[in-house]
Amino acid sequence: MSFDDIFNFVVILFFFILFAYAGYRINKTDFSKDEI
Amino acid sequence: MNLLFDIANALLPEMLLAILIIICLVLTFSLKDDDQNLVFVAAITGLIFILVSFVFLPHSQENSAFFGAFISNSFTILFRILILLGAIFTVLLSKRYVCNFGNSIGEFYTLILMATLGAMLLTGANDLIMLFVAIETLSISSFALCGYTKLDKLSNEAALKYLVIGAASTAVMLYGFSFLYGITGQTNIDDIVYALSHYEVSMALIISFIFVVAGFGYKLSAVPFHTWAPDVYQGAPIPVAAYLSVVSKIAAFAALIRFMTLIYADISIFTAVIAVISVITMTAGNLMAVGQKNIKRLLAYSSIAQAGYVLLGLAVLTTEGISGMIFYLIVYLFMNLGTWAAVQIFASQTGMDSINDYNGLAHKNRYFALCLSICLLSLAGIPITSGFFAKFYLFKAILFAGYEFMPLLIIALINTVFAVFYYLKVIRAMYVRPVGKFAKQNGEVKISLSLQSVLIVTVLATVFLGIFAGPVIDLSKAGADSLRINKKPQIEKITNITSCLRQ
Repeated sequence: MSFDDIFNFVVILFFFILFAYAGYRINKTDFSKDEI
Repeated sequence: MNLLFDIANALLPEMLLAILIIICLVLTFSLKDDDQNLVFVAAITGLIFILVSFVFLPHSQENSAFFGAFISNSFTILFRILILLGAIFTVLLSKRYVCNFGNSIGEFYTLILMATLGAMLLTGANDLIMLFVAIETLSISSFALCGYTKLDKLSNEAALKYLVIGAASTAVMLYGFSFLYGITGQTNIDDIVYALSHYEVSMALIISFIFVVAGFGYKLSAVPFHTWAPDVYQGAPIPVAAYLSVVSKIAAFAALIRFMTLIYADISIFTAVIAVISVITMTAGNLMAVGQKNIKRLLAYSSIAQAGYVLLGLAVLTTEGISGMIFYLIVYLFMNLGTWAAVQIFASQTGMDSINDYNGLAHKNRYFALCLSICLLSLAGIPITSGFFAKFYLFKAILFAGYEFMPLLIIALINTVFAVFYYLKVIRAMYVRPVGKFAKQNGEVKISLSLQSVLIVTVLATVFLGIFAGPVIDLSKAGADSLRINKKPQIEKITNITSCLRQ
C-alpha cells in the first residue's frame, strides 16, 4: 500500500466520520421541542 | 410508433405501473370513503398483471429507452421483479392496517405504487439525472408513507427524521454526481465509464466516490449512516417499515452494484472502503440488536446487519460475489417480509410490540409461532432454511475471491454465530418463557386472509428456496453475468462512434 493509498483512505475516513456525525446529530434532535 | 415500441421493450412494466397509479388516483378522488377498498383491489390486480407483463420483456438482450437513460437486461429485470413482489406483499400486509386507520385509504396504496415506480426506475437508471429522479420518486413517497398515521407522535417523528436525513443524503449524493460530471462532462453512465477509462485516479474521483457511497449508505442504512433506521422503523406503520427494509434497500443495492461494477470497479481503495463499511455494518448492527426489547427496533438493527452481509459481495467484486449478493437479496425479500408479516399480525391483534409480549405465544397459536420462528432462523442463517444457503453461497464467493479476503470471511462467520443469540431471544420468548399477558387472554389468534397469504407464501419460499436453490442461483448468475457483459459492448460502441467522428 503506497502513501497515496493511505492518504486517500484517511480522506475517505474523515468524510465518513463527518457524515456519520451529521446523521447522529439529526437523529438526536428532538423535533417536538423546536430545536431546529 | 417504432419509438414507442422500443420504449415498451425496455419499460413496459413501468409504463403499466404509471397507468395503474393514475387509475388508483382517479379512484381515490372519485370513490366515497366506504368504497375506498376498491383501490386495494385495483392496486393488487394491477401489480399482479404488471408482474405477468415481465414475460413479454426480452430477457436475452439488452434494451434501452430514452436514449440510453434506462436499460433493461437480466440484472435489472430480476431486481424489478423482486421490487414488484415486495410491493405486492406490502399492499397485502397493509390492507387490515389501512382499514383500521380508516382514513386516506386510497392515498396509501397510491403512494406505495409511486415508491415502487421510483424503485423500479432506480434499478435500471443508466443516467445520473434519471438516477436522481428515481431516487427522489422513491424517497418522497416514502417520507409521506412514514407519516401516514399523522395523529401518532412516533409516526410524525419518524417522517420528519426520515425527511431531513433523506434530503441530506440525496444532496450529498447529488454533490458526488456533480464531481463525476465535472471530471467526465457526461451524465450517461456508459459515457462516464468510457471517459474514466482514460483518466488517472484523482482526488476529484475519490471525493465523488465518497459522496456517492455516503448517499447510498444512508439509503441502505449502512453503518455509519444508519442512525435513522431504528427510530423510523419503530415509528412508521409496520407495512411501511417492511417496505423500507426490503424494497427500498433492494433498489438501492441494485443501483450501488451497477455503480461499483461499472464506474468504481478498477480502483482497489474503493473496494477496500466497501469492505470496511461491510464489516462495521454487520458487527455494529448485530451488537446493537442484542440489547433491544422492542421487536421493531430489533428488526431494524437486524436489517442493518443483513445489509452488512450483502455488502461483502460488493467488497470482493467478482461475478460470484455479485450473484451471491443477488441470491441473498432474493432470499432476504421473503424471510424479512415473513418476519414483518408476523409482527404485523401480532400487533394488529394486540397493539403490542415488545419482545416480552411474545412470551408463551407458541401455546396460544403454534402455527403462527412456527412461521415466525422459521423466518427468524432463516435470518440467523440456521441450516436447511434458505438464509443458510444464501450466506453459504455468499461466503463461498468470498473464500474463492482470494486469501486477502479471508479476514472478511472470518469476521462474517463470527457475526453469523453471534447474531443467532438475539434471533433466538424471540424464539425463546415464544416457546420457553412463561405465558405472557396476551397468551393468557381467551380466544384464538384471528388472522385476515391477506395477512395469512403473505405469511404462508413468504414462509414457504423461505423453506423451499433453500432446498431448491439451483434455479434461483442460476438466475442470480445470469443477472450478474449480464452486468459484466454490458460494459464492453457499450465501450466498443462509443469507441466506434468517436473513431467515426475523428475520420
